[in-house]
Amino acid sequence: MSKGLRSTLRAGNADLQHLPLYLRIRQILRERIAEGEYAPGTAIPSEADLSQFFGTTKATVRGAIDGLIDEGLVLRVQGKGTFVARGLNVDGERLHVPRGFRDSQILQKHAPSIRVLETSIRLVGDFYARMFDVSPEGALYHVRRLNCIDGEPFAIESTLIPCEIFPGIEEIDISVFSLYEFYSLRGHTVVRAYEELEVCELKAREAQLLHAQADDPALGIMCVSYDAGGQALECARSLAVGENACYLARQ
Amino acid sequence: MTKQTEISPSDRAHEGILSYIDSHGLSAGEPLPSERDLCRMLSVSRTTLRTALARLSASGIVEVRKGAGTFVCPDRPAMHLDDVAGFSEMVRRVSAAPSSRVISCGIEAAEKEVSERLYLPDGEPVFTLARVRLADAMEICLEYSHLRASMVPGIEGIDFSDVSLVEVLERDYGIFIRHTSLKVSVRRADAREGALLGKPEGSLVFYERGVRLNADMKPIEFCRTVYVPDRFKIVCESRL
Repeated sequence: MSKGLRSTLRAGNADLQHLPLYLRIRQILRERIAEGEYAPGTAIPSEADLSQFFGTTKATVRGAIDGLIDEGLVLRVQGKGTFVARGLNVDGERLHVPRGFRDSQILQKHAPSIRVLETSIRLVGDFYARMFDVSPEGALYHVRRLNCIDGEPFAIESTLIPCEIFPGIEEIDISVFSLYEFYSLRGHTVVRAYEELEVCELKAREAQLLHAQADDPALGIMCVSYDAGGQALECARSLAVGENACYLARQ
Repeated sequence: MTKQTEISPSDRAHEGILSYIDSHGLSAGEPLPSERDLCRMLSVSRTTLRTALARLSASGIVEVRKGAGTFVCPDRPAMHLDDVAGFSEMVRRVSAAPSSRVISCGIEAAEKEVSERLYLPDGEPVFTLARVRLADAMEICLEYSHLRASMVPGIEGIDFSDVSLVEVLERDYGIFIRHTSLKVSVRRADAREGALLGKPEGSLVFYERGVRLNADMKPIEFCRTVYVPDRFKIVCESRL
């Protein structure tokens, strides 16, 4: 625990004095992260320690941390604590890693789980032949999954993978390996992803899966992942609803 | 044994139109074949084709002009979440001319969301600037910017129709934005947003909320922006 925390809160700067306590604590934690006292990947003090230190309740500290989670600064890992997601460079130099779909929406909060809804094989066709630079007569492996947080569904993800690049992929147990892990084992590590956001309206059967209403607005994300050689490895489309249906970015 | 499936008619139509544009090297303003010819080429029904065209038109790929046919849209300005540029810069990158229409500009008491995001006491005076931002006279977004009034005295007297907020902050107030943290979601436009953006009420829009901070991580500006999705792209290129 840092010595500076409490004195900062007490002495404060004039700007912070009028604020509710949870906002003051949030700003102080932010500054500690910015100054590198809490380094990326390390845990910040526990909620119990922080509440004792600031002489307040755990609920207040939790409120302070929730805002930092929303901003993508820290992430809460159930049973383990709160971790600094990434560093901020106080000199203003870019130190930014954009937060991809899985990163921003799943890892950040609570326990993720993934249910495979369907797997199938389809013809590549002209459009994906160009995207993956494979024969249009070949096959694409299609995986459709439902992503849940704390058991509540929030996104449907549909992924297409060219079999020409990953022969035998349909034999893989994707509940054991993540697709990215599998690509890596086959010598195609994902190093780059291109994402484009889309506005969508839920169809009746999508709404049913997501426990939402037909025609509800949803955030669509189209994501193409590439290896170091520039080879496109997969094209995924996800459809998300609810408070987690957002895309975070920081720089 | 994994199930073998046919490409569904709707995917066939969607992918087929995109492939056609790509393989024929069609550029902005050029026409696609007639609906009848497209149906025959892609072997899909008229209804399926129209659904696909509607989806592509909602994403700003094609424009369906009643009675005239279907045309390829020009490149839309794009926000790169991995390298956020100012609005004017984003518009100039696609060779369009940026402009702004000031809707309101003045001091008001901060509402809860604003005071919270700027770490201000409730009801603290904030400067609020509402602008419609345009590219080649086409409405792209409606943006609300909020700054603590005491930090920028006299700012409400500035005409923001031809000067950027960032420029004014740097030049007149010595305030430099160094970090941005933003969140994009999807919702429906309300009546006012629709009217200001030239879209029907209830249209789907991107909704962005962001905080801009200085080098000391002090929040300077809170902004809320509604983007018209068929005129603007939001993309992100990440290196893992």
